[in-house]
Amino acid sequence: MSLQSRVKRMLFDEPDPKKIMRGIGFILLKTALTPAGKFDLRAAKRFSLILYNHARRFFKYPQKAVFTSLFAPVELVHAFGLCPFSLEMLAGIAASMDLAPELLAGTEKEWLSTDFCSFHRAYIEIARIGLLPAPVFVLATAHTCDGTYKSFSEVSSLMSRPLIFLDTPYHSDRVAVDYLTEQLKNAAEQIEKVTKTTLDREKLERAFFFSNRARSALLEINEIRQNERPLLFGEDSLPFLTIWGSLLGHREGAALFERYRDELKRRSEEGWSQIKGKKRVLWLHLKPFFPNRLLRYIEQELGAVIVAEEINSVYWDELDIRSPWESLALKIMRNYWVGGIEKRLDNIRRTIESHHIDGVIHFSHWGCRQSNGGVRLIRDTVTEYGIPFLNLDGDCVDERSYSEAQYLTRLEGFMELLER
Amino acid sequence: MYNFADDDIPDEKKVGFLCPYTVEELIDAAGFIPYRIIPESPDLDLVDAYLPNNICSYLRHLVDLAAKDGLRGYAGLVINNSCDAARRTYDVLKSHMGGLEIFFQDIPKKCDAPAVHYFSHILGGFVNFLEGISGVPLQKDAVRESIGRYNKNRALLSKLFSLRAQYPRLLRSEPILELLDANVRRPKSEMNIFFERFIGEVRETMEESGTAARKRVFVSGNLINPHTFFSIIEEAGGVIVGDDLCFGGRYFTHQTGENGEPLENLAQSYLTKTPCGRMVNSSDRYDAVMDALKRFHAHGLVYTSLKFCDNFLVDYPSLKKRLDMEGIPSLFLESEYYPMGKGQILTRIEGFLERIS
Repeated sequence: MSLQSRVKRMLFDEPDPKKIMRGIGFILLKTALTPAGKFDLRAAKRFSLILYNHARRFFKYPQKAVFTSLFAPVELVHAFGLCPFSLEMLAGIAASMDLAPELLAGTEKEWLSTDFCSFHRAYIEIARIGLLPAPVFVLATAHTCDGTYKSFSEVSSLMSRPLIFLDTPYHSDRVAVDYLTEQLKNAAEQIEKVTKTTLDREKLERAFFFSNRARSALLEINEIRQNERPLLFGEDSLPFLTIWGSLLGHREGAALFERYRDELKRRSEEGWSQIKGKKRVLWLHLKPFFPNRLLRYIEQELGAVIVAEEINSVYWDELDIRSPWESLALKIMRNYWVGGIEKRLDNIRRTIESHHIDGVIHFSHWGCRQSNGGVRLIRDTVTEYGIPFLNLDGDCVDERSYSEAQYLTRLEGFMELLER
Repeated sequence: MYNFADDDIPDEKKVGFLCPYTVEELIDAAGFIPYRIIPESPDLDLVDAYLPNNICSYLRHLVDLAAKDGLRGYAGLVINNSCDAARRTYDVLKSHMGGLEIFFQDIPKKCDAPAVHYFSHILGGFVNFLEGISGVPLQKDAVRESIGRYNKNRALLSKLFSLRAQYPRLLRSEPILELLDANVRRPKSEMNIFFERFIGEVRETMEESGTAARKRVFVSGNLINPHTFFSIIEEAGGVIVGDDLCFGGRYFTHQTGENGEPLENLAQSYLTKTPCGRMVNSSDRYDAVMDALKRFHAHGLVYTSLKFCDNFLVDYPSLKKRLDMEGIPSLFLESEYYPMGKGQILTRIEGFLERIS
């Protein structure tokens, strides 16, 4: 039996969060001992260390653990000295460890429809079988998708922990902003009650400070990537969302993005040109998290490079401690998934122009109506620029229907269009 | 069967709508007919150019209809923030179906006081939209009168459903469904007169007819085409004693205050009615279902959901747990709006009915 199979059996036969914590500790040590030169960027090593350390903290101190949804205001969680972890990312990590097929099969036995998003199904099952420590509470927002409330509510009930839910309005006028602002204020009060602590204004200010620093560094990274010579593979920058999904508002998140920024700046100044891909691609939505060679094939064999990812867009303004709740509300409401699709299309237009994009790929995750439903309008927008658009239907978590050869053939066809 | 052909309703009087959270009272008060979009053919010809196939077939039917010019001439269309797919459907219609006046009605997922306040504000926007397409200011008194008509309509529907539960063999599903379809496409003033007379006649007849015991089925779910499903259940030997479908049993669970500020009253009553799967209190629906199962002496529950409707697909496991605890058998059927493979569904329902005997 391979090591991977043994790990899987250990996790599924006798689920125990402590075992996972020890496993993460082992990976952390192994990463720490790996020379930085083995990573594409020195910052990439730092990235792995921070991510594993954060995950270990989450398992080691369940009394501080909070499950959050992808665009939840994690700054608020950090202000209470708690440890947020995005459940969507957890599902992605489970997929990368090849655990998803068994997790998803588990939900099917529990009558959960196979058409429901596999991210949600995977983490519901992780919670159901006891692979996670019970958190202090669960925090979710409405705008990512319909499934977020449904699945977070299920996790909250499975783990008997309170759900704090922010109902993001569709519109962004004054009354809508007030509606969300009030909810954020109430959320802070709910957290105070659950944790039996009082929110320290200075800690909130620190969380805002680090969030703004991370935002500023990410903005600079995106700007540097507009450079004619590609300085970073998309395969390395797509995982950034694991950081801003959990570590915005924390010192480590800010420091990591700054490290990336500094290293990319240095590369730019030194005229670094190791990436051979010439055709510049914008990647929309997420990527498959299970082991696959899709991105590597695009970037290392086909001669294209992903120079921008929608998921790494900085769509919000700086947080302002003078009006903290409204500021957090506006951050949520400026997300390109809130409201109509125009915001998302405008963001795509801006990126195509700023990053000199030659072609656009949208990965249509099967269970995501929010994103897939807009593909026609995205295609219309991309073709305004006379550049090719490729929609790849697939699943980010469920590898059971993944057929690599078919994807690679479609990518080859797309590449031909790019080169015309 | 009743003759409810709607040829007498001119298109320019119709404001199309899709979801029972559409505040029909305002459309009615503005002098239009709230006209529910009901897909009338299983064919989908043009929609693939606009929406992917993992969006629910009800919305795909709507886009297909619009692409075939089927909504041309309507005074307006209301699309609600019912789900992710509805938002994208609105985007597609707005971009590609020019000439159609569309109002997007946001609905909070919460139902507390701030949510009611926000929803009142949304309804204010809806009033502006209606005034824009009618060219006439909407009077509060007209809204209050409309609220009265709708309250009466819901009370009558509630009586009708109780009668159906009492005499399911005689009040077969098809004629009832025809009435429900007409009720969301014709003026409520007219439907109220009809229902009053109909209920009176039914009561007289029923007292003499009595009923025999059959397998009593309650149907729970969303926007699925009930005509096909209900007829299959009856063909298999069951009787429908109740349902909580969007335009069935969940359509008439609320009454709106007739005094005070009409928009606030409407916001309050719509947000606090028996909830849809999208609401934060969606599990309250299970209480309503459990209560209906007892009241209507149902032997089993068929849970139907449109494929790709996240808000309802996810609810079945939780509802099933409740039903299992009470020893009530249930069957889960996921389907397109027009179900494919009628034979397979019939076989599953026959098997289910055997189980509840």
